[in-house]
Amino acid sequence: MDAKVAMDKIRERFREDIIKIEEKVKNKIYVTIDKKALAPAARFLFEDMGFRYIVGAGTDRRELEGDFLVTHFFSFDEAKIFLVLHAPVPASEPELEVDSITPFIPAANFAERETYDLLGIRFKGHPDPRRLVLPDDWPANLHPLRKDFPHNFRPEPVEGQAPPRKDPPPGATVLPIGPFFTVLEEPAYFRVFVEGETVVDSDYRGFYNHRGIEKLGDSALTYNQVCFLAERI
Amino acid sequence: MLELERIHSHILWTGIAGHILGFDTVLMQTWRIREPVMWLCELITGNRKQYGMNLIGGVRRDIPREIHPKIHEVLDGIEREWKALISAIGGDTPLMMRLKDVGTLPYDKARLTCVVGPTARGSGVGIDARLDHPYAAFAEVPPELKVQESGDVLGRTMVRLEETLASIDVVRRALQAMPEGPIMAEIDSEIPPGREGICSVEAPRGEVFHYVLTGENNRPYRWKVRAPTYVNLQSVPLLIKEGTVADVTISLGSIDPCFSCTERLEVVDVRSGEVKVYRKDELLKLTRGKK
Repeated sequence: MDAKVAMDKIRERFREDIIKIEEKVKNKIYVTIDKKALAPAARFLFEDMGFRYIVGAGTDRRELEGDFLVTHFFSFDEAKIFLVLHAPVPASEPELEVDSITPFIPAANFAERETYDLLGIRFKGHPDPRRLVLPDDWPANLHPLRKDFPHNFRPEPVEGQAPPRKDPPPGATVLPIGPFFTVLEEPAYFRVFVEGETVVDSDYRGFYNHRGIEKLGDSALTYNQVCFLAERI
Repeated sequence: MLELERIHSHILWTGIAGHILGFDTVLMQTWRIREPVMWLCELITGNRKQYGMNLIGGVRRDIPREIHPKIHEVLDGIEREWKALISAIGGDTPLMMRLKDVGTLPYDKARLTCVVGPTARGSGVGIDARLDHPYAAFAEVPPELKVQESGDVLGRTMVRLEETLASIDVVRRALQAMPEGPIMAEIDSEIPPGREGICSVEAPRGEVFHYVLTGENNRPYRWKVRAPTYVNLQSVPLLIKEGTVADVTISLGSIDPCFSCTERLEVVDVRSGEVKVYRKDELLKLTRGKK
């Protein structure tokens, strides 16, 4: 399959919903699609066409296009193809919302939670929509990657609103590892649910070191400065 | 440079893995082997880590011909010692018992969770951004793809051990094929706003992905980065499920997690609650200034 064949397949399947589809650079396909077809298109790419999910992201384009952009990135490694799937969500909508793809692409779990945290776009049907990257004491409904949020603004910490932790299965014991633990050189919090010595399930809370570098990159630094910051990720 | 980074990172990981398993000889030996690579990095870039080499349009420094022999000498030494270490690890029964059939991620689960790098290649998913989306000069000096089918910690370990040797090979070929010429492209116009770009790079831990939407004022409008641990970490619940408590740490360690590779020093006074971030000169004064 080459890029042209891939584009034809997508066109054929989602003819009604495609707003724009183009191969901007060789093997780099950009598709803009109606938001109601975002989840079905992602599923089609992942399950039927064998694309690999890379990550999802959101962009606040209110000052440019009056919308928020939800994007899922895919790769088809065998044929060296990248595919970018954009779906605009008009800012005028009362509820910023798209359908979640995590139920059938588990790899999208973190990306969708992060996009909600940073931009306030909800992913309907996400199996675990808890806070991911923002700290426990960050105010609700304050989304720092929005363009009207200054990069150096520090909100007042809110007490007692830590995200709920997952309940262990009945009969299992909780073994906490972290947030600071001798064998982990960096902070991360795993709650391991055990029966005897056997691990039956686990829960994770991390991102204690989230530094907001994407925010810095689009509001405080220039291109050449970004290079040096990018290297320190 | 990218391959030197991979070499020292894989060597470092092997040491940490030994350390997690309580086998500190591995840690000591690997870090001893690794040190000359750090000296090389310093020789080429001026820094042991965080090289600061990349700029828009090129790199800051060239690799002068005079230091090629030095690079070859270090690589030869590492290759010799690394082969000895691989055979020592393979012949160590208790170590193998801690690695084999531990933290297994089968092929189909690896596809589903979209893991990258050695975590994917250890589960039989043969993806590598250097080959799949060639950047820099990797189209001309492609690395040999190392894949293990077993999906356990041993699989991921073997991928890293063998990739270290493959990287040495890439550096040798790259040095030989290195052309003369300018190291920076002249960019005479400003970067126009509203353009999009994507790129993947194979870091030691796996694929790093960048998306940029250009903006006004000489800066991106949106810059999205996805580091490899972001996806690999999401596979950890699968790795540790049904295993024993003692294997949790090495299973987690086997994806080579980097929760955040940079720390800054922030001091919180517990009595007053005051937060202070130290600047470089203050830190230097604290450390070097002491008599």
